[in-house]
Amino acid sequence: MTQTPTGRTPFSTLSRRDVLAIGALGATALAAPVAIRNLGTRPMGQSVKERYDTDILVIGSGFAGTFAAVEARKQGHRVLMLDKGSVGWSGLSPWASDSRPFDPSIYDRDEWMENLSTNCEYVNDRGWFDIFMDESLDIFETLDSWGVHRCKPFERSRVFRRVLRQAGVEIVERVMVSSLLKDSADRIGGAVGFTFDDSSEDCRAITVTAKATILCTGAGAYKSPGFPNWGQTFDGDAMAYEAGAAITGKEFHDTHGTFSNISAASYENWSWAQEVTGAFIMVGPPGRESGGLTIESALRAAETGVSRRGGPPGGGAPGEGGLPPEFAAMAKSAEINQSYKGKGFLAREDLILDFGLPPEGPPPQGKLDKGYSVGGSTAGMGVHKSEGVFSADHSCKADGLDGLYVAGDALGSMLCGASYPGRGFSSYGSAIQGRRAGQFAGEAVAAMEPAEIAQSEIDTRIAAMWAPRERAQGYSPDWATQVLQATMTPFHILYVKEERRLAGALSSIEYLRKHIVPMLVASSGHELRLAHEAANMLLNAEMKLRAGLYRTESRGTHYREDYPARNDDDWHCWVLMRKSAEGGMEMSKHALPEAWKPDTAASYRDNYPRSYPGEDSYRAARHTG
Amino acid sequence: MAIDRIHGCTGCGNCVRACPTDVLRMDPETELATIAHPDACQICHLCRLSCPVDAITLTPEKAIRPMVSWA
Ligand SMILES: Cc1cc2nc3c(=O)[nH]c(=O)nc-3n(C[C@H](O)[C@H](O)[C@H](O)COP(=O)(O)OP(=O)(O)OC[C@H]3O[C@@H](n4cnc5c(N)ncnc54)[C@H](O)[C@@H]3O)c2cc1C
Ligand code: SF4
Ligand code: SF4
Repeated sequence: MTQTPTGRTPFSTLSRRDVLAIGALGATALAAPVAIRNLGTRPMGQSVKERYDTDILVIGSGFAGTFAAVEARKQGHRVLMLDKGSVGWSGLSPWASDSRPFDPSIYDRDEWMENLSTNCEYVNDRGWFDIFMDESLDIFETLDSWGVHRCKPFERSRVFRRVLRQAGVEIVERVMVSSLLKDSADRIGGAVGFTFDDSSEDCRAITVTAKATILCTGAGAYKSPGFPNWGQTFDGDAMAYEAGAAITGKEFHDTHGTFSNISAASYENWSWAQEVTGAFIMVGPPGRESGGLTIESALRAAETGVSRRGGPPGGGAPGEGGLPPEFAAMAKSAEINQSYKGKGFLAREDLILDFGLPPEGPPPQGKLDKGYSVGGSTAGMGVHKSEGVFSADHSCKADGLDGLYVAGDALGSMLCGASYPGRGFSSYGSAIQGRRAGQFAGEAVAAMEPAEIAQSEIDTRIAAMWAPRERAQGYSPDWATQVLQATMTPFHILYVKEERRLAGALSSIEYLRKHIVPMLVASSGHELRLAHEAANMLLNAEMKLRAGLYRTESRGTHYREDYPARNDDDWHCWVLMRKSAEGGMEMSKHALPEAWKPDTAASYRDNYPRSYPGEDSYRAARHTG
Repeated sequence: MAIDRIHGCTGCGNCVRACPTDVLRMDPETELATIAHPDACQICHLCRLSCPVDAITLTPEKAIRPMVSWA
C-alpha cells in the first residue's frame, strides 16, 4: 500500500487482498486516529492571484451557459465564462440526447399543458412551460443551424466552443468557483475561484468582478455510482444560498438507475446515446402519467426487497411481459420521428430496448452481462429543472439579490414540478433559460455602474477558499463524502421517507456540517476541489432532508410513508429555504395560483393517476376521522 | 478500477480537458497523459472518446470503495 500526502491509504492502491483483509478485520479494528495529518499543507497567501473584470460573468458552459453567454454578447457586453471543467465536456450537457420541441403547427397546446401538469402533479410552473412551448422550436432550429444535429452528444463540445469563440466570449476553463462576491449594498458583483491543476504550477486564485453574474452551474448529486455527474455538486446552490438567495425543489428526486453487475459504469448505461450521430426528437405530448421518472424502483425495493426492473428471470415480479408502457408509446412514435422536419432524425425504439430492461437469460456471446436495472444511481439529484435557486418571476434573476441571474439545472424553475414528466425537456429547458438569463442580465447591466467590491471582501473569500489547503490536521474530503453517501443514498432515507428516519439522517448530516466541514483538509489542488464539493454536497443533503421533513404530504417523487397522499389544501406550494440571520435554514411556503390546482370536479384518482402504498387507507381514515 | 491504462499517448491533452472529474493530468516531465486520481473516475469514457489515437482503456467494473477509517 502507498500513502497519499494526507497520510491515508488511497483506495486505488488497495490490492484486492488488502480489501479482503480490511473486511475480515471488522469495523472496530479499523478505528484510525480521529483526524489525519495533512502532509501536503501549504500556506496559500503568496499564491498567484489573477484578476479579471467584465460586464457579465457566466459560470458554467453547458446548454445554459452557452446560450446565456451568446445572448449577452449579442447585446454588446463583455462576457467572461468560467468552468471547473471545460466547454461542453463537463456537467450533464455532454449526455442529453432527446428533445421535445413544441411545434404549434402539429400539436395542441392545452393537451401538452394538461398532460405535463398532471404528470408533474400540479406544482410545475405553468408560466415556464408556456415559455418552453413558445421557444423550444426556435432552440431546435438554432441548435440545428449550429450543426449540433450532425454530431454525437459528446461532440457538441466542439460546436459550443466554436459558437462561443465566434460570439467573442472569453473562456477560462478548469477554474472551480467557490464563492460569489458582494458589494457594500449586497449586490452580487463577481466571484472567486481557483485553478486546481497543480501538475506543473501551483494553484492560482481567480477573482472576477462583474456587473452581473449568471450561474449556469448545473445540478448535483452525491457522486453516486452509475451516472455521469460526479463533477456536479450543487456548487451554484451553495454559493447563492450563502449569498442570501432562496433555494427550492429539494424534496423531489431524479430516479435514474444503473445495472447490478456494473453499477459504477456510467458509460455502459448511456453508450446507446453516445454512439449515435443525430438527435432524438420525442414526438407527441408528454404522457399524463407515463413516461416520467417515478420512485417506482425505491418503492419496489422497500416492498419486495428487489429494486430491479423485471425481477428474476421467470419470476413474477412487477414489470414483466414486454415493454413498460412509456417505451411502448415511444415505439409507436418512432415512425413520425424518422421523418421529423424532413431531417432524418432517429427512431427511438431500437435503441431504447437496450436500456433499463433486464436481459432474458444469459447474455449473447461476447456481450457484457450487465445484470438487472437497479435504482439509486443519481442519489442526491433533484428533478431536472425543479431544484435550485429560486427566481420569483421568469427573468431568471435570483429572488431578493441584485446582480445574480441563474439558468438551467441550477435554476429552481419548477418547469417539471414534482417529477420529470418524460424525456426531452431538460437540455432545451436549460437553453431557453440560459438565453433569457443572458437577455435580462444584459438589459440590466446596460444601466448599471460597475460593482465596487471591497478588497477585504475578496481577501475573506479567498482565505476561506484556501483554508482546507492550509489546515494541518482534519478530515479528508473522501471520507466526508463516503459518510454522506452512506447516510443519504439508501432508498429508505431519500426516497421512501418517514419522519424519524429523516430526522436521524439530519442529525448526522448536521454534525458533519458543523464539525467536519470546518476541518476538511486538502493536500493538493485536486483535494481542494473535492473539499469544497463535499461541503456543498453536505449542504444539499441538509436541504433535502429538511425539505423532506417539512412537506408533510406525498407528491410526485416525494413520498412520505407517514403522509402517503397528496394534500392540495396545505401543500399546493413550493418549499423555499434561505439562510437566516442566525445562520440556520429557514423554511417557508411559496403559494401557487389557485388556477394551477387540479380540477376539483374530477376525482382524486383522476387528478393523481399514480398511487402510493398506503394511500387509499390513509385517505379513507382521514375522511372518516 | 475504472480507468485502467493509457498506452500510446501522443500528448495532445484532449483527455485531460475532457475529464469532468480531474482524474487525468499531463505529466510535466514526459508531457504525456497520466492517471493521477483514479478514485474520482466515474467511468464515463469521455476521455476515451476525446482521444485521437485511442490510447485509453477502461473497464466497467463495479467499484465498491470500502470505508477504512474515521478520516
Ligand atoms: C446521462 C444523461 C442523459 C440525459 N438525457 C437527456 C435527454 O435525453 N434530454 C434532455 O433534454 N436532457 C437530458 N439530460 C439532462 C441534460 O443533460 C441537462 O439537464 C442539461 O444538459 C443541463 O445543462 P446546464 O447547462 O443547465 O448544466 P450542465 O450541463 O450540468 O453544466 C454545468 C456546468 O457548470 C460547471 N460548473 C459547476 N460547478 C462549477 C463551479 N463551482 N465552478 C465552475 N464551473 C462549475 C460544470 O463543470 C458544467 O460545465 C441528461 C443528462 C444525463 C447526465
Ligand atoms: S472515464 Fe470519465 S471520469 Fe474516468 S478518467 Fe475518463 S473522462 Fe475521467
Ligand atoms: S487524448 Fe490520447 S493522445 Fe491525447 S493526451 Fe490523452 S491519451 Fe494522450
